[in-house]
Amino acid sequence: MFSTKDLQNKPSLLILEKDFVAFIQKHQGIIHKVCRMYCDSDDDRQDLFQEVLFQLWKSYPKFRGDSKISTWMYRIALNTAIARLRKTKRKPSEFSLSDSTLQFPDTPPDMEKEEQLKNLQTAIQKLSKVEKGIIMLYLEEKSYDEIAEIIGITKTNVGVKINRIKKKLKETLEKLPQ
Amino acid sequence: MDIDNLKSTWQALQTQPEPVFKDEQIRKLLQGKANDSLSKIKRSILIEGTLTLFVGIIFILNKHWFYSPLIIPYLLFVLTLCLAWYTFQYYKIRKIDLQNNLKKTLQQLIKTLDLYLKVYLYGSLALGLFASILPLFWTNVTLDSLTLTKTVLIAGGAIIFIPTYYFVTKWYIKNLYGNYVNELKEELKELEDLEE
Repeated sequence: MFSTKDLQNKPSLLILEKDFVAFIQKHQGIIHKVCRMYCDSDDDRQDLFQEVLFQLWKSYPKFRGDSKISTWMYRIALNTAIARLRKTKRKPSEFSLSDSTLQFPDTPPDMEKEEQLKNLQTAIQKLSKVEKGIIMLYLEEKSYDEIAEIIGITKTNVGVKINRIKKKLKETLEKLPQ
Repeated sequence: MDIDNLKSTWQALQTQPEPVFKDEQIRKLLQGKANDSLSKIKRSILIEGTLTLFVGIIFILNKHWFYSPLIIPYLLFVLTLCLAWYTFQYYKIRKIDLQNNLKKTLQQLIKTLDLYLKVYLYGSLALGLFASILPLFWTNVTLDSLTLTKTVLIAGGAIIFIPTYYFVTKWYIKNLYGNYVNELKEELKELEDLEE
């Protein structure tokens, strides 16, 4: 990784950093999505955001555009989140949604929609780290080809895995109070 | 909830407001210290390597503490072996590329960490043995009864200390990184099971 001292010494690194910051500003939504998927608290989310940021910064000069920007970012963000060593192992809570996690707009509340959102989030929290990553990519409308490229399994197996996860989610959702 | 409505429900979830980091906040985050597991392991390798080098240099500079002229080649041999290992391991961990796909990243991580933890355990045991041999090079070692008693006591201490040290280190490693490696293995197994 480049240090601040390196940046002061090499103007080209300053330009690179400027590019990178602009790049992150534009695409930070992807990192937020991954952080929201894997973290329960605001502090944890900020820590993961920073870890992903470091990894992207480290890999940024090597990015040649062979794959889509979003594929590259998801790959690094998911690798960082899944391979992360957590300080304390937290049990996924039944309702881990704090007000800050899920801020509902000030419009009149649609109780049914809110309930659906809570239930979906709760069901996703019960999945394994790998399953969370795959279902997130699926819900984000990524093609099976892209998911296969990010995860490293065949396209057929992506389909198999998604069906299994859907089944698991359905079972969990059915057990939750409607 | 109908499972086919998952995507629309998810999209609704994504419309929730997100914190947006501005230029300055991103720069500030970049200037912080990397705290991921790989960076922590790299830092601990650097610390271990520096400490080993420091202790080795102290011994070499104070070679008059030892009577045997063989102490210098002995210390240099152990020091070179340790430093070569630390350098090798540092670069292996540095080479782990999170730009690869998840499966490849997990395979690379598990292989590297497994080796690191194994050598950490057996290497520290070997260093313990190396340290218990050091008194044999000490000055003023004569074969009188007092020295023999001391030698027997050192040997007895080593017999008790080394297995205890082994189990304590094993427990420490398991708690520090062992569970983490097992967790990574489970994640990889989940992907590999699909291929079968």
